[in-house]
Amino acid sequence: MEPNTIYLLILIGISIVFIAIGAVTAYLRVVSMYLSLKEEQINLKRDIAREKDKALEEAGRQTVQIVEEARLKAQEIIKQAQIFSTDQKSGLSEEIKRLSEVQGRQYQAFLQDIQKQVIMTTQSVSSESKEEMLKEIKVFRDTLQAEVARSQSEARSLILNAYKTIETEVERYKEMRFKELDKGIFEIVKEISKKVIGKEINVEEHEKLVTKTLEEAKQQNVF
Amino acid sequence: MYSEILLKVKTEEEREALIEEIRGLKASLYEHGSFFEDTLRTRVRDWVSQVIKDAVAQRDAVAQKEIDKEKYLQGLIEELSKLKSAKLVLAFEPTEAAVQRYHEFISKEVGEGVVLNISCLPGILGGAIIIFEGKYRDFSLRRVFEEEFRQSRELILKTLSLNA
Repeated sequence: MEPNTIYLLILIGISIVFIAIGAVTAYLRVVSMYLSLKEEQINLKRDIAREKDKALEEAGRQTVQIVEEARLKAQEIIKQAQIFSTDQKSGLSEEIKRLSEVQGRQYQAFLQDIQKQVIMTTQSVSSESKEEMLKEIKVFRDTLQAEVARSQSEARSLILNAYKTIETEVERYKEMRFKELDKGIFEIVKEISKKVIGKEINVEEHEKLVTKTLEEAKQQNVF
Repeated sequence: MYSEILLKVKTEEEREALIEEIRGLKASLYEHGSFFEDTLRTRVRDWVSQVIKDAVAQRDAVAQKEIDKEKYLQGLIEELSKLKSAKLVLAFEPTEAAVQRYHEFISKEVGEGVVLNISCLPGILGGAIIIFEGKYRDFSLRRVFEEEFRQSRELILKTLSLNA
């Protein structure tokens, strides 16, 4: 494998590691936010339950009070009944019955109000929590997008730089190889030409050439 | 005294071979009996043997006595060693006649007493490289060729790229 390819692979690997680190960081943030929201929700549920218990306790207390009042009133009526006539007793019974029904309705209405209030409170709290959660999720999503975009930008930048470096090196390498190729071709042509010339000269021509050489040497005062 | 034998020596190889023969003859002088004559007959080329026989058979004109063989042979070795060497690098193996011609040519220019040291190097394509007394001249076709190619390099490459 060529060094350029290894270099590129290393850079791509580094980029992937950066992206992975960004993703892990974002994931940890999400988990943290999720835990925080969950805790908040638990607290909220606890508050709601407490509120509900309190309302029910209040309702119970009022109910006991109403029943106690009714009982006292009934005792008073019974006491007075001994001095009343049968008609009066019958009217009194109807009156007690009516009063009991009224009290029952009032108690039912009171319970329904309490229930409505609890439901409304719960719904209101859920809605707020949901909005808060959505807001947090939106913030998280934006942050995550920004992180991913930044990581992508950094990775792109790294890859571009690496690509430019490699491109330069490749150009240099190509130039060098072309030069080597030129040299190689030149040497081949030269060697072939030499062989052709060497084969084309016979002994007689060789001897003549040497004689000419000796003449040349004489002119150059070698002897 | 030695001119007859020296004129026959044209190349470095011949000189070395002759010196070896003379040394052998010289060594035979120290042996008893007719060892010198035996060596002349069996270990020396015919033409050399003949020249030396003729030379030692003559009487020393000044001293009026036979020539001292040892002194003669030593003198011959020294004279052979003094011969100048002209190196010729050729692209082919020259014929004997060609060697004769080249030797005559150079001897005519520098005088007698020169031997040729010829070697064959086909890579020079043709012509010769001459080295004599410290002077070096490349008259080979290779040099001419390289020079021509260097000057025409751009043109050749351009032609090649156009034809590619």
